[in-house]
Amino acid sequence: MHPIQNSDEIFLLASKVLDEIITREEFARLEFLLNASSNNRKAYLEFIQLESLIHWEQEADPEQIEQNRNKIIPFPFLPWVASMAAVFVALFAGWWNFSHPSHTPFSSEWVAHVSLASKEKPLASGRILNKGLVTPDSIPTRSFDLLSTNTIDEDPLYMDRVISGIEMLKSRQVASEYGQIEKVGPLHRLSRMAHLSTPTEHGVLPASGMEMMAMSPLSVDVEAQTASSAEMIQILDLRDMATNMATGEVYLNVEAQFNQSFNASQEGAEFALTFHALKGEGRGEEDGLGYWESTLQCDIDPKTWEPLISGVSLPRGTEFVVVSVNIRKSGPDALLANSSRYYSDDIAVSLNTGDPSESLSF
Amino acid sequence: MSKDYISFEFSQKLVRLQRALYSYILCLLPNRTEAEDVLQETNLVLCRKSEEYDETGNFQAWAFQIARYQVMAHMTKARRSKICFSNEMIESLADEASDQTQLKLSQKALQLCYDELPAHMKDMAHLRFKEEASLKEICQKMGRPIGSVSATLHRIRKNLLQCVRQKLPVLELEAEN
Repeated sequence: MHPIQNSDEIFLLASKVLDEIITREEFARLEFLLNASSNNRKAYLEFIQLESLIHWEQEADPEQIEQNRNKIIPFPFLPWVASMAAVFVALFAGWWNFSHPSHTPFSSEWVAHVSLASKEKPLASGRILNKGLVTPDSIPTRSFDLLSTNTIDEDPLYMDRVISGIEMLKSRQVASEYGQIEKVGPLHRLSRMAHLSTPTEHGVLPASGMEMMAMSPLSVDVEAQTASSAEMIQILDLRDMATNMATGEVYLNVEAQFNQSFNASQEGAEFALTFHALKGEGRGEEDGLGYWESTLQCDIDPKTWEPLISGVSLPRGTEFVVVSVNIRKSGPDALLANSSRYYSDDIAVSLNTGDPSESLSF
Repeated sequence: MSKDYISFEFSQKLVRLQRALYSYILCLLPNRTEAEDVLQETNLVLCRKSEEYDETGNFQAWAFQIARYQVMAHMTKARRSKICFSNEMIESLADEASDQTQLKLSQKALQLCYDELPAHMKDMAHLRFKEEASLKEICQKMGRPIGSVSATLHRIRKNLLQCVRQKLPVLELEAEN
């Protein structure tokens, strides 16, 4: 057998390899030809590279899309906002450390750990059947399961944030790196919405207005091929609704929209709205009254926002409700989860009681 | 269990390299399904080793080297039952396949050429390349014998290759300007 001068035979054999119809003899001939000359190998590589591109031809080019989006979407004030936010956080960190010496050690190392919110993991370790969940007919719910009545003790950082947030609410401290306290009607709430706020970025426009909330990067478990994050959005202080809480006739409704920036994944992330009903400080098991979550599979189109509406009847005795957003991915895509950024917008919370004068929307 | 944070920058680099990485693996392992499996395995190893990556180094060279080892490991497992290249051939192809500089322009040219395919070829190309149908499935759907389908697919690939070769110089000129 002699090496051929043109590449037709190599193309034919390569085509048969790709279509998985090559015989052992033909494959031996291909290998012989490839061994014979560098030109033959170049011809083979050119042919196979084209095959790989045909496969990718069907996919969008992530880099190109990102470049195109960057061309048309300005980021006018981001460096200024980021600098101001950093200064704000640093000032409060210093103030907090000085004024709360007995609190959890607030060393520079600990501050850095807080900033790495991606170390968080989802609170739920498994689902149990929806037990005793009562929602009014008017509240549409999706995939809504009562998960556990334990306290949120699975993630120390998350628990620390919640406990610190509740302490803030109890002391009516106005703001810290955990969020800021707002008064809504008769209630107080700790909100992190301003802390997470960002203008348009990574080709994602806010669902409405000029800003949306950027979730923390996901923590990737390489071995398990899972990625997840949990972001506490707000804590509602319901102690001033004591009358209604005693009768258990308070319904919490939350609406939100979710989106993610473009990446190479075939599937979007799973978003979940989660609620923790707590009494006291949420430190002990007896303080956890309920944990619910409602999930949504996000699409991969950054132009569309997916809405999620959830509602829950709060257990009697609830003093605080922690509202969070969890994000999860699994499988090989999870490894590249942080090539996307994840967003939430238009979060609307309402509390409905038997007394119309006490119903609140915010 | 390791629980490692993979940086946004690392993820971006890995995502940008996916096309070149897949192309590289397919050259060494010319079977699409197996190449996709090895790509996933390579991604996994790259993520596991992300902390070892020197950010000042050549990411592509580092990733290709790991991909080459993954192909070798895959071949070792598959060699007894499947038709595959010898280790020497893989080494030889791997050295020459590392040049992926033209990939972006080739992709652009290919998109133009794909649109220019005759209708009957486009139908078959769609089945094979987009729906990833096997030859047997294409035969059933199009009511044609396997030899005819195989020959048409070969002509599609050759047509595209010739077309891309013609368009590349023009696109290169455009890119320079």
